[in-house]
Amino acid sequence: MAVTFTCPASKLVFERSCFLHKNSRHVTNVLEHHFNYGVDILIPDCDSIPLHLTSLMVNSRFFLTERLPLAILIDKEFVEAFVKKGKLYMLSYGTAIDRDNCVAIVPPGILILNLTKDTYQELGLVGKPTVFQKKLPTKYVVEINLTEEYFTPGKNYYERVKWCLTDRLGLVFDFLVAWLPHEDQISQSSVPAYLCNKGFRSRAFKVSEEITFKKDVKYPVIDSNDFDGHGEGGNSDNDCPITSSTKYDEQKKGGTKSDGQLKSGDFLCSYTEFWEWLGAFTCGLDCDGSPDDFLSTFSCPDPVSISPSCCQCKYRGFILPGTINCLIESLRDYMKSSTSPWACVTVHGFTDSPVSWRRNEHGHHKGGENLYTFVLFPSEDYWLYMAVGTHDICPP
Amino acid sequence: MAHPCELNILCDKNSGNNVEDRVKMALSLGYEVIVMNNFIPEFYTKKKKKGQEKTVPVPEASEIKIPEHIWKEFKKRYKNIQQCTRFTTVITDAAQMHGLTKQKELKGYDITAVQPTTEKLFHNCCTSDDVDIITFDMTEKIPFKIKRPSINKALEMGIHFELTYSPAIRDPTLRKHSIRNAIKILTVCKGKNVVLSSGCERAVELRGPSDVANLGILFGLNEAQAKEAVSSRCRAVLLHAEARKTIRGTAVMKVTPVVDISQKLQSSTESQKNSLQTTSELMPDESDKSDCNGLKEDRRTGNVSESSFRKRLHEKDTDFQFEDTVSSVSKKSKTVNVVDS
Repeated sequence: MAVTFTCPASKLVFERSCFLHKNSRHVTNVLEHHFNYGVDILIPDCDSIPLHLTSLMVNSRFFLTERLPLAILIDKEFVEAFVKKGKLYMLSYGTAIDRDNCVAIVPPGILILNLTKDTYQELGLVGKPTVFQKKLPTKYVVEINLTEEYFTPGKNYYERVKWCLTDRLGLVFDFLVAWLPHEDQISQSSVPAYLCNKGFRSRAFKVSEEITFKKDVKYPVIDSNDFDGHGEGGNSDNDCPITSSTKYDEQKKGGTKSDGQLKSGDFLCSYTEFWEWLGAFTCGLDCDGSPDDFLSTFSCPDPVSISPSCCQCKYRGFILPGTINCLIESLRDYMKSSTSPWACVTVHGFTDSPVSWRRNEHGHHKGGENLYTFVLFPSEDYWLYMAVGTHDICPP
Repeated sequence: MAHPCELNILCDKNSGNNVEDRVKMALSLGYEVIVMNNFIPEFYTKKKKKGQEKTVPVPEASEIKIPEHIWKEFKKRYKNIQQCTRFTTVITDAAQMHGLTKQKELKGYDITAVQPTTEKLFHNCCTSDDVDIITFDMTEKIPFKIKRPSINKALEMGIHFELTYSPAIRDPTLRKHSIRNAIKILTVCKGKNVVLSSGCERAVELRGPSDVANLGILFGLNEAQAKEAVSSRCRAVLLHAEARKTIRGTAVMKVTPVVDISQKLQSSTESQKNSLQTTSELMPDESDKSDCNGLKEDRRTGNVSESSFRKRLHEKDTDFQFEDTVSSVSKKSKTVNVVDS
């Protein structure tokens, strides 16, 4: 008897639009996804990756501050200097969202506490139960807007929060810190310098980089206008971005394709097949589809093109959304001059971050994936995939 | 969701010396609470002729724990890990239920688990005060019918049902029995109060928490229940065990450590001063004097009321039950009053 395990529920949102379109949301979409753990770039038909692309990522820095009490974060001096000016991103490090307390600061100055039931009941701040467990919630979310006018020393609410965070429970976390200054003259490392004065150690890290070139890679042929692979290509009017959302179901899309009548040119690879292939390729799967393979019989979807050299870059670290926007801009420039049919940028969010997009609550059921992929075409069109796991609110 | 928990690492004499290997494996798979299980099938028998009771000596709970120096090594590598003990026995006679309360050594164990053999004994177990877990022999067919009224009682009492998965890994025939038994149990209890544990004899039979949750889906749990069965349900078992010990009217004291960060912040607010004043009014002078040194730190953080109150309880050895949640609630209401006034 064959047992089929159903895949945990997940959501995939697909958008097609053009960078030049006035309503294109590519910038806001990137900016709204706050905590990014990794960036994968894939460019077929590419011999060498331009330096300005890689230097952009490698030069970005972030800090790890150890054992920082939460009370420091609501300190008036800290709020005035860093939260209200520039963009401050902070995320508790080494905490699992489904069993520990997690804390984050997202622009514009919202402190988000994702607390376990025990801590929530002891802390004494008002929050909301998690949206993912309806009956018996074990997690609670407290949001504090640090930039509000009434959030100032002397006011009742501020004193209450301060008392809760200092006297009731001395919550202490390790934090990943990155700050985008409001002026160019100010250094990024002002935040750790300030914290160091207060007596909390910080360590600086750089984004790690790994560039590989793969030879003779089979990749699917896609057309920016023909996203569902029916060969119609009729949707050429780009006046409105086309959005379609599907429930992604691994079972339905087994690797084998039985249609024998496919001719290249008539039918192209659809967006779901392409995304599946992209995931398999990024994981290093051998997509040759040999039927006797024990691990996987997945093959590259038809029609196939062969690239003599394929460039794959991996970046890992605490990457700011602003950096990713710059990366996409420079990739657009690169695409204008290169011969590559498309380029992919996949951005993975932290699995244990309390928020995914905007201030949407994020959780961890089997996997806490929250990621998006841009497929850039030379014609300035793009495809955007946004995917989240079970415990997540549908991306915007 | 709570921390992943492995409720059943067998460490009776027959299981060999590889207990440490198995614990090491469990920790590396991501479990944070490890329960060492002492399985003694027959520990209490009644002699028919003379009416004398005979008990099999049960080793102390500390004997089956991982030795302190090895556990310290583990603690260096894995943070927030916890070790508990559990005693499991087979119930073939109603008198044995009685034996559970009589044995002194059993009080040292954190969790008590029983494996009933008949329907009547199963019902007895479900209504018992002294049981945390009802377990089943997954290597053979359950010899009795499980009925809904018994299960309802057990749910009411907070007793959990354990499904062990390592027989399903060991051998295809046992797998058949395991799945059949599991489905039999789960159709009656509808996935409530179910914990999944290994009951492994070798380290290879252990699986990671998410894998076990997946196996739970195969047994008939739904997604959420399967994940809970390896995490928050196990926590419920441990809390049930802790609560069970307080039924007899003994006091359980717990002093939660207070992180003193007010020194660094130099924040002495009005409310804090208020709370200090009122707490010193609340406290009789004698206890303040006697614990002067101990209280100094707490005084600054404003937590003086609770800790000193608890200390007083401790000194006088009163019979109050002092549950953690209760104390925190009372503490909250007290301090709220202070702020208002």
